[in-house]
Amino acid sequence: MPKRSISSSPLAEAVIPEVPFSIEPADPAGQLETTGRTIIIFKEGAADAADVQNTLSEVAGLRHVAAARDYLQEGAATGDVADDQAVHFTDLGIVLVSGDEAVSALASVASDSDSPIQAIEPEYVAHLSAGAGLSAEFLRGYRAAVNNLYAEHAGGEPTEDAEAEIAAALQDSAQFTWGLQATRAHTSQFTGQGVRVAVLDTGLDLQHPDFSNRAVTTRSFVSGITTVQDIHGHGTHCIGTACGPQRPASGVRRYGVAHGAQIFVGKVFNNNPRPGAATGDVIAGIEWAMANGCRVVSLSLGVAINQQILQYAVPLRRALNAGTLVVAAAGNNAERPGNVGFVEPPANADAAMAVAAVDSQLRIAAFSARSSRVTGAGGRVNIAGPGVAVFSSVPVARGTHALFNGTSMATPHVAGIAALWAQARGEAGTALWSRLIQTAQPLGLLSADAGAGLVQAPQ
Amino acid sequence: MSTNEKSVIVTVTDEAIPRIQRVADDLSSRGLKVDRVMPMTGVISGSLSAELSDLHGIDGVMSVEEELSADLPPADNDLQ
Repeated sequence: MPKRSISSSPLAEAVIPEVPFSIEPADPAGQLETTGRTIIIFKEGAADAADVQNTLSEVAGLRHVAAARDYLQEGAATGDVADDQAVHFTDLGIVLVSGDEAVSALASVASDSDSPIQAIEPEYVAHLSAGAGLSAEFLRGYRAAVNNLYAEHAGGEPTEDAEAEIAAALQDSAQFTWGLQATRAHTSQFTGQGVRVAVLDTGLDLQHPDFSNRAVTTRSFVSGITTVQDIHGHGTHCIGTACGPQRPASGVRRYGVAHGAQIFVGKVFNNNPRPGAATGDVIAGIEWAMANGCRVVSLSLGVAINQQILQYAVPLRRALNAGTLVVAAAGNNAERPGNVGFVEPPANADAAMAVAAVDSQLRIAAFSARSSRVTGAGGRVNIAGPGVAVFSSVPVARGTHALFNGTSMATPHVAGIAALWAQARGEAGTALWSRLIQTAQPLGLLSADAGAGLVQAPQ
Repeated sequence: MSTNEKSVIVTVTDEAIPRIQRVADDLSSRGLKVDRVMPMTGVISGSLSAELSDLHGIDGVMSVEEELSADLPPADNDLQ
């Protein structure tokens, strides 16, 4: 890598700064290539063309500053920039500078409080992607996964490397579930206070000790059922994950994300041994959530068909536009590695955030549905959440707490974290959607499987 | 519900949402037994003995579909 030399000049010697902006990139492996030139980045608001020209001239003695568009129109390449010249990308507020003297002059004033300069960086050379973008960390994890597959199928033992990877995996601690740790919900300063979260499901065990002093708003949407009392357990588990208490009265580890959010329990499943939720009842629950100002609705339910259905797609679009983010389970219809499944409705609605499930080693769960190839953009997995061996509340009659697996479990992690972000940034609807996607942790998994990656809580 | 009665979900068009009750009345006169009228999501639910196609052509109707159901496994499944 070419080494920069800062040649001496009166200006550079007179003010020897601890330059706050690195000119030498942090590159211990020596893999970054630079051109030897420097990019000066001007602050927003200080990037007016005339001011930039002024700075370059006054500070660095650069009087031959070409505007990039003129330069490039003449057919010159930026490789032709001479030492006493600079190329000003006027619309971007950046300047390409060749001469070392000019750069050190600019560096010397860059740290002044009224300096118009935001940063000074070497001009890097980017290369085509073969091999690029694969971090050492990703490759280690990939190698461990391949080693494990080999061990399973070739009958051998996992290698030491693979075992070390397994040992480093997350696990439930005395204080927190692995899922709260993986999503950093356990260290978030936010609680979901002031945010209303509706969980439309089998209801809640209203006698559960962990919710005994939590105000909840409840409504049943199932004909003939007047209470949201949860017989099955699915709803209690999901509500626990989304909004469970910070210090469970039962004494177990914390398992809930948005412990300060206002819980809206909508019962949309009947009490059959295999409970069913009619679309009309679910939509009525969404209508209720919207009318009550719920910014998040958690739907851990799906219809096992690989089609978009308007009975979900249309109302969910209206919900999102009205500021209610609907988070839905991608589906458990995969049996990987052979059958990768497909995102089900309602998750496959464009306006629903479809959630896949990962395990504590951040691998995609065997049952977690992949993005559908037939239902367009809506059929995409958008994000992933913890969905294997998820510890949460269940009805007292079913043991009070239990470990469940499912995209049903990943979904309330995202719903709870959406509530944290809503509190942290005050966002709703599509802005909240974007926030979740932008802040997700890339996992090195296929985006068809994990979307943008693992949901992350604001800190 | 009688044997040939089906549950249906009707979505109304964006522009018809302000007059969703009128749309519901029109559907009713074509045989839909209206159950819910939901103005925020723009959905009308109900039951119908006639054919779904009998409800087409009504002003303000975007779609008519048979209502589907999401199902959960029994409580003792650990895949939920």
